[in-house]
Amino acid sequence: MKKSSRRALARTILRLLQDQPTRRSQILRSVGAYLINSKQTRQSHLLIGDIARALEPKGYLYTEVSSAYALDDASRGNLSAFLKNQTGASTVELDERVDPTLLSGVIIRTPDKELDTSAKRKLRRLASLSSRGDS
Amino acid sequence: MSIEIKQLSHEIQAAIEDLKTEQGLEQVGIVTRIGDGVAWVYGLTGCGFSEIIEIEASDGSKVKAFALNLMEDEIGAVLLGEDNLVSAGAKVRLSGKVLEVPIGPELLGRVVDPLGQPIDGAGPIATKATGAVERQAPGVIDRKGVHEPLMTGIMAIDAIVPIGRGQRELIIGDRQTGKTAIAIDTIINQTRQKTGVISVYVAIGQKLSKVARLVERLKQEGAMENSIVVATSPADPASLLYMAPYAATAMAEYFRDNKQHALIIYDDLTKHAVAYRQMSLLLRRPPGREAYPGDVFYLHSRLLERSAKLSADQGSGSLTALPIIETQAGEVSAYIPTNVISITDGQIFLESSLFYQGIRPAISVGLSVSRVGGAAQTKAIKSVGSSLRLDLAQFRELAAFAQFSTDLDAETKSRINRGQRLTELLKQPQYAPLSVWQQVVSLMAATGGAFDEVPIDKIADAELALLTKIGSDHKKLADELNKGDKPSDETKKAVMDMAKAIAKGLSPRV
Repeated sequence: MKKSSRRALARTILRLLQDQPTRRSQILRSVGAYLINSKQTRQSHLLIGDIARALEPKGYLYTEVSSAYALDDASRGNLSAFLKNQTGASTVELDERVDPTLLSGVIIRTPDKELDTSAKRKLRRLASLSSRGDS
Repeated sequence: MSIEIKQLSHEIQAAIEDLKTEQGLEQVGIVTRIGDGVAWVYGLTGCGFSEIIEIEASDGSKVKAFALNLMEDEIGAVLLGEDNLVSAGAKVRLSGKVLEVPIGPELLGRVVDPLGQPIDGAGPIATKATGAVERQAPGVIDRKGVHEPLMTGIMAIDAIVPIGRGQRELIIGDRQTGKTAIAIDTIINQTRQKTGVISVYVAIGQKLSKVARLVERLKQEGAMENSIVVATSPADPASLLYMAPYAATAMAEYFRDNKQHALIIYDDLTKHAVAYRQMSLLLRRPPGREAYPGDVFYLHSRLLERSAKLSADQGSGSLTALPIIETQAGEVSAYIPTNVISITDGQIFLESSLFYQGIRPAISVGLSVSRVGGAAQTKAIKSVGSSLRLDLAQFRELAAFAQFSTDLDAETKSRINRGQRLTELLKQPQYAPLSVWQQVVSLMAATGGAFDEVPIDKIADAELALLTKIGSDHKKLADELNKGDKPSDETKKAVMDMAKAIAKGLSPRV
């Protein structure tokens, strides 16, 4: 079976979902079948990323937010405003996750970019810097 | 214990700056697959060709890689470090830079890896500048024709296949035929003759024991002070072998662009092509002839095009290249040898059969050629060596013919006689390059017929005696010839008289 480019597939799925919203479940079943047949099931998360990336120029920004504690409404609003300001998106979808290992701060992941303000990262960099200093 | 508060304050500030979180979003990709020194990266749509990307390693350090395959869904990047520190899922960031290496005079006398890091144990190298590994070659307007000689000190080369500054002359031959020896003698000659030419030797996948021997010899000869050695071993990743000649060229270009003359030796481009083939196959590029990728010609043409003689407006510097190619069983029509032959301005072909006959350097006069070096040949050598190629060619023809006939006319016998003596004269031990006057005197005596009566096994003695006599008793004459001008009739007569007197003493008495 000839594999098509994942990015081309993402664009096709997006177009079909927008053109035929009533056939959503059928379209998604077809995508699933295609991934099984072309042995690409393990790349499904990459496909989701490509769909999110294809949506970005249309002003829709999917963002994964990981934080040490659950976000309150004020933080959520600030975050959305920050992302709109940074990327020029008109709509921001926040996919929130709580990860206590971050200790504090947040990790913001858009389809292409990332901002990591977590204490975990700072501590790791500090450890890395001090180990380089030792050597 | 004293603590300098000011210094401490600076250090803390620097640490804070380093740990400060970036205020904006930065492009990040993810490693999806890793293996055989190649990482496949998802994301980083803004990545440029040959851009350096930084992969977060499991221990918190960063592993550098350069992006070579920019495809619609992923990027294929070749790692410049160990792949065991990188795992799938690792974050990848753009550096916004193409690969650069340290350049400058601080590198002279050092042995470095292709990233410019010292590997000779002599401490760090503090260079002031860096140069791009991949760089455009000078254009037509910036160049000048090759017109200055680059003396190798090897008589067979300087007389028959002369090399000019800015030329690309290929050294080609089977294994163990003396290819590297020619290159090393050329480096040593630059030091002995005080030409001021900076030498850069690039070992591509060479045994480090060989490199260590070579460095030791260059140190003994005092040539290391004007040389840089860029070394890679067979144990290094293919990416480093691929990079080595480009990085070394960037280091040599510094001297070319700063009104100096540089010589670069690529030892050897066969191994370089093999390393590139390995990388290309791992990057899933379509294999072509002998499994080499389609752009293997461009691999070497863009490298060798950077060797040039610059115009006066550009400072008149030069970069001369001596690439080396190893053939299998003398097969010069194989893929890589024919490619490099067509790129370079001539080749010095070394033959195993000559080597085993004791003719060393084992240069095949018939197959070796220098396309542009004639214009750069020293007038002194040109005046005495112009007939050499023809004499040797006639000798080879007649020698083959003479095997079937014992009854030869006097003219034929004399040509064979002369050819045998010229062949003997062109033999030269390693690490013994000759200066201009030494070459001129030897060739003048032999081509003038002064040594025709000397037995073949005494030719070396006759040459040595002549050189010793002139070197000790006629220094003025030697100095005059060393200038490279065409020798006057008086000079010729003086040399011929001395040569004949020496030959008389060595000739068999009738």
